[in-house]
Amino acid sequence: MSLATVFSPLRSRLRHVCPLWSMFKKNQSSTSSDKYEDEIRNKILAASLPFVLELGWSKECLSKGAEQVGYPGISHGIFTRGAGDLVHYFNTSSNQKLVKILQQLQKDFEQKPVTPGEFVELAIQERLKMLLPYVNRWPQAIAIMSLPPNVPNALAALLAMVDDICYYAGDRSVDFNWYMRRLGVAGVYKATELYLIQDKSKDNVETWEFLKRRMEEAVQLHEIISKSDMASQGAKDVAKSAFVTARNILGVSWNK
Amino acid sequence: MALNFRILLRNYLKRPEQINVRPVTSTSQSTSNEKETHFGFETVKESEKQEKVLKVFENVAEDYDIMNDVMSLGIHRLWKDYFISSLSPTNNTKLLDVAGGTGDIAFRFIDYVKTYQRQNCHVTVTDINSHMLNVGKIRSKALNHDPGIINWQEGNAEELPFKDNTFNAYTIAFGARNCTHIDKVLSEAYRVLQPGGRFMCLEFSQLENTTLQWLYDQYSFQVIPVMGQLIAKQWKPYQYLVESIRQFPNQEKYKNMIEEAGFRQVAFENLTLGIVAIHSGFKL
Repeated sequence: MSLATVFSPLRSRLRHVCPLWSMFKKNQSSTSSDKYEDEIRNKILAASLPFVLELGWSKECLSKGAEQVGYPGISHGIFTRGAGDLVHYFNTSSNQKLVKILQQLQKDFEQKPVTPGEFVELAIQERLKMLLPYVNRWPQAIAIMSLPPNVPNALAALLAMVDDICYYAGDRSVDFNWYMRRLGVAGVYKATELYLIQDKSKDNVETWEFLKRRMEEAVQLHEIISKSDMASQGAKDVAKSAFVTARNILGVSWNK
Repeated sequence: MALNFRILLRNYLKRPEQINVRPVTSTSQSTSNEKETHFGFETVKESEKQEKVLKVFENVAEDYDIMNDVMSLGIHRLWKDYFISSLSPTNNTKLLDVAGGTGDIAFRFIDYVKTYQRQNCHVTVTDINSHMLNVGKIRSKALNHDPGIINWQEGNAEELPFKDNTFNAYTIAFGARNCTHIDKVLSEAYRVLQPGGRFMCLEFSQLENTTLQWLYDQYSFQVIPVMGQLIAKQWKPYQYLVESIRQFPNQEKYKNMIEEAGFRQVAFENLTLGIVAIHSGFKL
């Protein structure tokens, strides 16, 4: 049995990384009481987002959000990771929105098919557009998600997102390309995100140009690697180790 | 076993004049149907515990803080600072500090609120012991606190003299241990808190590492009462202190009790390897 077949069920499991808060609670059963608590958490988080522009990704923002839904500001303590929880909520809820958009795109392109590369480019663009309202505060969010306690959440959200994109782009591979594509998309997404936060051009045209160039490169690279055995072995090793590491970090939820 | 024997020996031979607690004999158990509880390692009637605890703290009220410093090597200050910083009061925080007689938590709250310029905050300190409250009141005056921000109220944690949904934060630091019915304390906390309000408890707990627990036990039983005698001229209260720490439920058990009282999102955090733990829950 090849490694690829062992890991292929990851796709379906990855999607379960996304639902909020279930990640690191061991032995968690989704009782009605958990659901009730999650609903309150999500309600407060959703109400906090509009304050991000004014207050940044912060505890103050969470207490404002709590007040909006009728709880005292002090209940910000529910979120033990503070701003990290808020950014994670933004990431996962944006991912959910993206899935709906991707489904729509898939339907639209049934008549006039596009290449997977073009589909991915469009998808990354749609996802990055969700950052635009917060673009001034986004460097702070990147910094928060780079803090060691938040890294697993950040990685999980990113991998879940690229997995969705690849899936709707038509990737049904069960070989090693599974890893290559996802890593490639994640790399392009992150690079473009960094470009976006310092882009001053009108309507971010330069960001979208940048994205286009990176996608072209990625497609070329992918072709070279898949044609050359030598290079592909090295690349496969890199891809494999990166994914195994990520899987180990997130193993808690993936092996439920 | 050896430890218990030493305690017995000490009680009966060395310091007979300080034993104002008669050991419960089998006859008293048979004549009375009243429930019993623990007072340190002793078993006493439930109705007696409160009075005994009261006496303990009456005796030590004035030396309370210096003894805290000596016993914990000053670390109790860090624990309390951290406790308030993890509460992170916001604007409009109405705090009830239970068993906070000498004002340790309340004053830290006031400092926090001033430093971070939180608006419209208030703290009510309640303690069953008026001696402790008096110490706190005098200190508050010396620190020139605005009387509008702090309020002192004598009261029992098991029957709080406040209406439902009065506060949005409840703290109890090193107090839960001394109460007879912890479940009643928790349900009262739940009652006086508004929805969304936070319950926080700072309390001695148990170490995870058995070797360290042994070391800690040696320190507690062999050193602390001696220091009590030397500094505060009191042996018994400090003997009680270390015994009551061992009687208090451990982190997980206490967490379950808090959940049973109705709190949600209950979690605890160990400080200094578990010598103390902060438990936190929300009324949602």
